[in-house]
Amino acid sequence: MSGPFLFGADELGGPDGPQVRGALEAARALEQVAQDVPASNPTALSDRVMAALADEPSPVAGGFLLPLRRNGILRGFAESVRQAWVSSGRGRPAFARAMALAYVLVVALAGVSLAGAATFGAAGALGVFAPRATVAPSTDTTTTPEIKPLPEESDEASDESAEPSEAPEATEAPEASPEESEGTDHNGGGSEPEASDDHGDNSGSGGGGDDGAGPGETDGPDATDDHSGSGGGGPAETDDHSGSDDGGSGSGSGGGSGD
Amino acid sequence: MDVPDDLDVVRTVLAGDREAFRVLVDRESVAVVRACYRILGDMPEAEDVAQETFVTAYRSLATWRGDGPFGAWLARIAVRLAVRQAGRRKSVAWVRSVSAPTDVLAAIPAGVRTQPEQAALRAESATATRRALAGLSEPYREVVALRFFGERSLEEIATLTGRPLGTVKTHLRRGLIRMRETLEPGGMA
Repeated sequence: MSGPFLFGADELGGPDGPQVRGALEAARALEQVAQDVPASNPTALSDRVMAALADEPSPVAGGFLLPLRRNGILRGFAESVRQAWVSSGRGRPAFARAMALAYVLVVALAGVSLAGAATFGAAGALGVFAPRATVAPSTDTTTTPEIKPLPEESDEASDESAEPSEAPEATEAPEASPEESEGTDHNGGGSEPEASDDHGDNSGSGGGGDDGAGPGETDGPDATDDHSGSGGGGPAETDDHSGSDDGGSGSGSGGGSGD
Repeated sequence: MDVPDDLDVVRTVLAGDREAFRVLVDRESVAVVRACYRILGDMPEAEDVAQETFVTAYRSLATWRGDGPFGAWLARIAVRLAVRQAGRRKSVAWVRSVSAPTDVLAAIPAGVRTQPEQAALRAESATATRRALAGLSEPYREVVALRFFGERSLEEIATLTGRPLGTVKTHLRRGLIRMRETLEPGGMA
């Protein structure tokens, strides 16, 4: 460039006239403005421009992939994403921006997917998603031992322990007298009041006393006090057996049950 | 020593040699700054816009077809950016020229600064001319600015804009007539 061109009327085209003369006056004013330009420092501007371009990605469409080729996938990945993000901004061709934006979106989606999978896997490893069935059995095991020992104390009672289920029938009978119902409870499996009479004679089988222990623990203390008279709570049911042993000296069957 | 062609330099830059772009900056910076200053009337602001011009050109370098001078392509970018910048600070510039006359005088070349009255008149006329140019609508503004401030011939402008030469002439003529109508009430220098 060798400075502003001198404007000529032939550049306007068209016929001459007052409007063209006015246009020429405007052209002279523009030429006047164009001449008055102070000097500038081109070297300083070059340095400024190159400094501004230092972090710019390559102007080629897809130029953000260059760091991957130069530094490898691992080293150049972060720089590649950064350049793609910069390239997706304004001031660039639409195609290059679209490519860069698509690359950033793909990387972001992949990152989110990996992070989600890692979080899910870690949570699964820590047992966050495991069912609660593992917790419930532990509570059951703590409660069951309190119930089991008592049936195990009497071996023979376990055979008759099924009979206490018939106790409700005995409760139907007590319509006549509530005292009989107490006797049946103490006998446990015994459904007839006569069995309690045998127990009092000490001639009955030792199983009568054992029945009292079998049905349940709740009725145990009151029932044993009434029949044996030797006192004792639920655990004293074994004492009832010893008592039956004494009486069993008259009948061999009682001694057998004491064992 | 052979001076590398613009197209060769651009290809080198596109191949990954960013430093090769400095050749183009050194070659075209004076013309770009000059075009920006003619539109803006402020040198620091013109240098800022010139820098933005080169950065924009670098980002879009792959789109340059090479069918015309690289300087003409740069001039078109510079004119657009400078006109946009002038439009942003239009109201502010008017206040600055009144409240701070020293800025106006500082922008006047040293050769004419010895005659204060004449210098003030020229500065006022230049400001009015710039405002008249900025007030034009497209495509007249671009053609007039490229012709007088970008120092481009009508043929180059026709190539740059992709319009026929006759159309460019018509745009130039209409643009100048409208500028004259705008400047007429205040008188011309």
